[in-house]
Amino acid sequence: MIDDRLTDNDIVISSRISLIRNIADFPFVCTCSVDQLEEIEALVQKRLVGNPDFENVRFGGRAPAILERQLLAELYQLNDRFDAELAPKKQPASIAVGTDSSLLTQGTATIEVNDEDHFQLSVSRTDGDLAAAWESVNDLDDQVEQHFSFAFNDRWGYLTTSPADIGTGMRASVVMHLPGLAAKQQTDKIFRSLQRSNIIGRDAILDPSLEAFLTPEVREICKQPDMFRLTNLTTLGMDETALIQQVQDALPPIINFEREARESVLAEPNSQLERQTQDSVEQLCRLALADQTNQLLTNVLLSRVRFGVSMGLVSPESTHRVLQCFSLAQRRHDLEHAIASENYQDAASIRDQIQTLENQIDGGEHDQ
Amino acid sequence: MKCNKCAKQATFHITDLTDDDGVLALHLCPDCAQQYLQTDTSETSDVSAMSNVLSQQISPLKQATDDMRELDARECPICGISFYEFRQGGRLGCPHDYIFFNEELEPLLQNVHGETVHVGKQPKRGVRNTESQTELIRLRREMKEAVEQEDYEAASQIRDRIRGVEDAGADE
Repeated sequence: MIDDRLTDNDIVISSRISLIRNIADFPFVCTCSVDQLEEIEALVQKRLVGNPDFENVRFGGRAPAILERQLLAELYQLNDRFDAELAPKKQPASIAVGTDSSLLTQGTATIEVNDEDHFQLSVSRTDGDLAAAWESVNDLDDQVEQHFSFAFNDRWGYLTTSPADIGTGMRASVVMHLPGLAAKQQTDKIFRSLQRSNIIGRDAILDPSLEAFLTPEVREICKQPDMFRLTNLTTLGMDETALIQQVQDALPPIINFEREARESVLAEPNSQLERQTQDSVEQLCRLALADQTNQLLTNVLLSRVRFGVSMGLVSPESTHRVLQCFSLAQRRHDLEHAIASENYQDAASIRDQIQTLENQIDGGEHDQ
Repeated sequence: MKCNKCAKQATFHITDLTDDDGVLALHLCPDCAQQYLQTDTSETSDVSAMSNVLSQQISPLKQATDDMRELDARECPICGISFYEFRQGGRLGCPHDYIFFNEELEPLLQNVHGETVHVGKQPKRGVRNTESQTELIRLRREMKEAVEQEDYEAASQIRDRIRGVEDAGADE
């Protein structure tokens, strides 16, 4: 078993590079007619989906469920000390629980069609290796380009719906878990200084525009974010490698600050950390068993548990139980998809897995 | 906020003291503000002096407002998006907008990115020039309109022109 602290995987959760591209022969999505959008989707279907070159690529677009799964993939991977048996085998890219050498680590490729732009090509990894992610997404870009002519201008580069994305059309981002700095209220200060280096840091779990819709209970739990996404701010005037390097260079100092902050939090007299972690474990299991899939609340609680795990405050039994609960949540998600796509053979198999997991979790609860 | 006297946007907010020590608040567009200040100047010399100053200030402001209105009304001939729509939503409608609104976008891009020239990856296969990209978008729209009008002869001709542009692009 690899100690995450040696690889910084306890702080750098995942990385992603996205490239925005538009087809030259069509208006941008916001001015396309429904017919034109359908025509683009039909072209994608004909040229890419089912093409062996894109065998390992997940296609999405206006189906929010696919985006949800992408979020799951990034946030639900705790680390490799958990039971690898729980990782889904059929779709290793859909969740990263316990996968240390799965496809997800190598890079999960997705192509979103007709979201804000015609294409968003992305590769996500469960480490901070942006250079490797760039290599994969660059290959994917070249492959798609063999089938579509992209809107491009020598001066402006790749033409995008929003002028904020023009040029490379690239966003390189890293999700970092910073509970120590959050507890010390240092994150705002760090992110302000990062802006001078062309990097923006945002809450990776809660979209600020959704805050008004939260219940008071969830809002209270979310009020101190500790999972952040760091992304390059500009896309024009620097090449992809230089933009990636800017993000990559920002990581080591933040990791060091976070380590210091964690030690300091742990050393505080009357630290509530252990109790908070245990409460979060219990709350997570209750949510999963009751099938109350509040995505946001789950992510926040998971983030707390993760902190406890990193600080050695959670027993192996508890972590195993949390993992089972997440696997259960994921299986329920899979069941909904199987039913929606009328794939009842898969649905029956997933239902059986759900029952087994529920029994295991129930059994574990009684043992404690 | 709309002008109190017409349907235009109010850009002048005037507060006047009335004879009974009350306050009159007026929200006016540049045209109505100029008219109001000119007609209201006979009452006192102080007000007259003030209105003259304001009138002098209104002219360049009005010019700027008129220029902005004119700019907002400009529409891309390919996708039909107006500059006003872009200002409101922050989204452009087609690749040609970068050419059509070039003058207005240049300072914006400088402000956002600090640069205005791309230096990164370029497509490996030949890129159609912007004119032929635009031509294709326009021709596709015309072909669709011809089909809607059941003018299949015209649609057929446009289809052949589309193929010609596509073939020329593939040869580049």
